[in-house]
Amino acid sequence: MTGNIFQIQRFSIQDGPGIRTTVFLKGCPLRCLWCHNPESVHPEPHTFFSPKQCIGCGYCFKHCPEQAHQMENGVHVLDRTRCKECGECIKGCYSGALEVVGREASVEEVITEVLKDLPFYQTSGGGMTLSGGEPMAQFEFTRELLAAAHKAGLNTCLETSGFAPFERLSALVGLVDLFYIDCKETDPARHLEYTGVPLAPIVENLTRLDALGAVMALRCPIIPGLNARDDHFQNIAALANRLQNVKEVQILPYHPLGRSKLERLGKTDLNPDWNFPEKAVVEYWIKEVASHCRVPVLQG
Amino acid sequence: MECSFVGLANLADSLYVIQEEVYNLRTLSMAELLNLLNSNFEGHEAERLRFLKKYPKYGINVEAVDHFVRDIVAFVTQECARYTMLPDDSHFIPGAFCWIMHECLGRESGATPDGRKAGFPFADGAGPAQGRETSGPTAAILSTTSWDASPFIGGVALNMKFNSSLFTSPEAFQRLRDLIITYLRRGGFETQVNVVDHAMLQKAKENPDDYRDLVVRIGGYTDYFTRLSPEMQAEVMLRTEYQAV
Repeated sequence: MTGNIFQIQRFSIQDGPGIRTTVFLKGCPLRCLWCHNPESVHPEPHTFFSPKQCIGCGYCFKHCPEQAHQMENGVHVLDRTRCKECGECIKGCYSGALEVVGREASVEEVITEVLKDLPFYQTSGGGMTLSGGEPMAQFEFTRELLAAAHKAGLNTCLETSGFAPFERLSALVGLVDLFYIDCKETDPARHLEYTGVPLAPIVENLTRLDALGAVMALRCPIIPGLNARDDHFQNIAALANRLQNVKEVQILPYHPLGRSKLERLGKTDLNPDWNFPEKAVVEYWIKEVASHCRVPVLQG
Repeated sequence: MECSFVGLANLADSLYVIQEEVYNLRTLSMAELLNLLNSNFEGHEAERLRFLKKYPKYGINVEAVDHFVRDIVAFVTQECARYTMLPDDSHFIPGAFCWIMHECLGRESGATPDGRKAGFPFADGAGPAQGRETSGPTAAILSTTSWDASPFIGGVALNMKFNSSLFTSPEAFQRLRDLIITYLRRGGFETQVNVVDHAMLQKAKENPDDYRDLVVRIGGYTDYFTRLSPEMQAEVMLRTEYQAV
């Protein structure tokens, strides 16, 4: 059994209890306007190109079968319309100008990497977190990773948008110690507009997972100008209050750092004016949600 | 008398590069390698980066490299035990705790096969070389405790650095404690913890090679600081400055 991943991050301390290793799965059915991991959207590997790192060694020019690497006015450019993502140019590039994002990995390979930090999980009560992308988009792979981690005695967390067939989510209830489920927008029309998928199935999944006793935390990205609204804050609190097994709400303030990744992917940023919200503004958001909410509201 | 051995990581990383380039892959001869080093990689940046980045390094928890440190430490221990010093026949005590000597000695030394240029500092203490802790602190701890430090009673220090944005809650400090406890349980001797501040980010901007492993993490977002665009680096630095106040 193999799946597509783009990162295994050791010493993760913000994705669940204890010291953890977070495995980022590649591919996502959502198209959130504020996505900060744009390299995670498509399942296939991508070429990251950072021309400023190029030292002009000429390897990529010689080895590209499509002549996608060209000089234009003395500047090294990658013609994305020619590039077939074969990865030949990356094999001999050590400057950091060309890098591959994403690879196929087996369950065994991932678990071997995760278990390297077993002594740290044992000290801290930590374990493995699956993130993405959307792990539910690779259901079988996700289930096998979680089963293997549980078998090894690790605490397990799953970060998901909740946009998946309910049978798949319910099949994981015994394997996941804590579900981190996104609550991106509580107005159905806006949810569709901002993420590309409907809200109703996600809310239904949340409700049914709650009935099964799945322990959950809500993760709420807040983007000024889109969902930084009092009605949304109240709706987040109402949802957390209605679901018995939601233990925590996390507020994730927008940040524009995904912009650097978009540049490397050769994509344009559709929101070049968006920026970090002020600290006082973030504090207001948290206070506003917390004032209506029965569970702790933290900055994530 | 204590003898401190400086640059353990550079030696292990260099031996691995020699093993691969000269003996296994035979991309160059020993004489060609020496020429490269004598020229301080002048006009051969591609080779330097290949040595630096293609091969695993001490500090990312890869046995194929870590074992070199084990061999070096065993050799050093054995040699130290062979000699005594006048007038009282006192022993040489080995250690890997170097204070500022890694900078002094690095300044005096030529280029090394691990991709380190002439004059650059050697790795400090017993941890990975600068910019090579690319799998994070847990892997660095596992590498550093993969060899028996007990004969090195002169001291074995591991320096770790963390971004201040990582420590936003009491739980995060608890995780740091868990990290250090695990290090000590595995036979770790001493560790020094540095929190990355504005000045360090400025240095990282100027000398990206030495700070390749500096990670920016916000929520579920992760990237290397040195790969961010100048504008985004400025944003991160601005925020770090605020947090320091």
